[in-house]
Amino acid sequence: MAKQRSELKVPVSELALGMRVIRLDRPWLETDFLMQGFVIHTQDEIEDLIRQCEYVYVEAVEKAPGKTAEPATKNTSTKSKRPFDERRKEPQGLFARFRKPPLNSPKASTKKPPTTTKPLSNQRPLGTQRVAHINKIATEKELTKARVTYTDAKQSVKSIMDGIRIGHTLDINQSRKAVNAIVDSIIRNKDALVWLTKIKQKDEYTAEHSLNVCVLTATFARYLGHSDEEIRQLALCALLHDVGKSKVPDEILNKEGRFTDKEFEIMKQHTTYGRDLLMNIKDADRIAIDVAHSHHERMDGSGYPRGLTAHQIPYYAKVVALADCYDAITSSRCYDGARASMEALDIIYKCRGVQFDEELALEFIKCIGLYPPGAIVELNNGEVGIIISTRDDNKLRPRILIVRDAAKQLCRERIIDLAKDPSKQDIKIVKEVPNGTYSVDIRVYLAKGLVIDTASMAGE
Amino acid sequence: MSSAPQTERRANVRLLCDERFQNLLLHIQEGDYPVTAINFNRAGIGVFTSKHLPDFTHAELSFTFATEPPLRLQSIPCEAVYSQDTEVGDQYGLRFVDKQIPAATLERLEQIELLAAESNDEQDRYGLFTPQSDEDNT
Repeated sequence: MAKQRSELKVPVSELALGMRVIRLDRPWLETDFLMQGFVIHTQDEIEDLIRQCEYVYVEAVEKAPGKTAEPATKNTSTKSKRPFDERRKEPQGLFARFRKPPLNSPKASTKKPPTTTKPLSNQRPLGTQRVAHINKIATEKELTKARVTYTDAKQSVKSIMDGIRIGHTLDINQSRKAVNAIVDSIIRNKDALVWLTKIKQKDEYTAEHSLNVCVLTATFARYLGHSDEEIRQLALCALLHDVGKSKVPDEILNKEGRFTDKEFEIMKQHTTYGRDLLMNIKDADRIAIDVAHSHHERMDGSGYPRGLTAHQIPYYAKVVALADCYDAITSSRCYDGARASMEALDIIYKCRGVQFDEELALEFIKCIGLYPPGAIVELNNGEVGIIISTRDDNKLRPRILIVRDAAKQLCRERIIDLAKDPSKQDIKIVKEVPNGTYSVDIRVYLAKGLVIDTASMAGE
Repeated sequence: MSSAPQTERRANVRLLCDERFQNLLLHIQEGDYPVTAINFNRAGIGVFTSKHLPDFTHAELSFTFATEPPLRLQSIPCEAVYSQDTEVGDQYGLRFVDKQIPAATLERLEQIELLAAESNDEQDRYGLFTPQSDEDNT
């Protein structure tokens, strides 16, 4: 006989493993739970419910007409075939990993959190192992491939955002495919895609920003020594961090000039929109949901939407927040991107420990460097060049494509490596100059694929 | 003649503000708004805030430069040379309006610039990039 399913109001003190929670006594959005409905798999989940609710509604089964419905329970050791359950393999909610001692239950606080396939914490995951990544290919060689990757990925991001606007479901596989191509390039060479983030198209800001944050995050993750798998996961989080903006009205999103207070408040909702969008994706990564929701949280609690403080902010959100800030500032309409790099690093440096995780902020500055790839610099001998690539162990002595002589005239292009060439010991970078200075435009060099006399590449 | 003409201002290095720049308050219309000092020279200052400030072109800046004795500057007239609001915060470039600033305040600004310059490393702005060992890199 077919069993009738309905819902049953249950005090949280009577919850048991295997019950399927359908509703709470308050809106889901007012709680820590990311998933709106789940099967209780662990005691910790019961404790989370006890902490936040007085009663909940669980799915009930009516065995026979006239008989009292009883809570339906599932064998929690068996994976459900239903999508709803598949997403509940891990404890849910941001605070599932920052567990408070449950009320009136001191013993339970010593209970070890359930093992998850992906350790989640506000500390560096799997941080004991640091992977040393090395460039496998020269920047100028990777750049050609990177341009295609960047263009394709930007198209994918635009397509994803446009699709959501017209009611399509976010295609997580399309996102993963774009991320994989980006990360593959960054693992081969850390500088080529960073070059491309220097070129800003004002009318494609949202898609370009998501992509740039993805590139910068992956580059940073590589610098931090994350594994390939972790880099891909972080890059996916970064690519989707602003996906909620697709729910912000166009007239606000594309507004030129300053936001009014009301518009700013609407804009801020993109974090919640992003969380909600990703929560509805069957295969969405839980960490991506957290990052979309938390990337504007700040260490001192001044961020939004929840005003979380340092220990409550997921590690991945802290990482993405730095790349997000850097790209947002360098995408200024008032500044040239190259010139703004130092502005952005100044802000990150000054706001370290208050808005950004201090240690990560300093590492991010070290990763980007004073003279990032694509920056135009003037040397102490008067020559002008473009930074081709940098060395993590000596950011002040990068490889430079010389494009102007001491008289600021066109010259035979050549690459010098300040770190490796002993004859260049006295050469120093005096300053970075805005793109366009001395008629040097990095877009021209990108357009021609950075073709350089191969003899000058001997030092690579 | 202004002590900081435009040509000179553009030539001035933007010095990274250290922890001695304290208690910055931007007075806009009727309100005071805390901001973070980012970079500075005698002609102006870059500031940042994670809060959304009201629209303004002119404002007054007060801050303390923590030296011995502390240099307190009150209500320096300034104009917004650029502003950018992003969802990560608002960034402003403020130019001090020399003509409206008393000579004593201008002197203090120059003094602060000199003191700030002493602690700024032109080659390694954040003190993070000096190689540990050059020999290892060759």
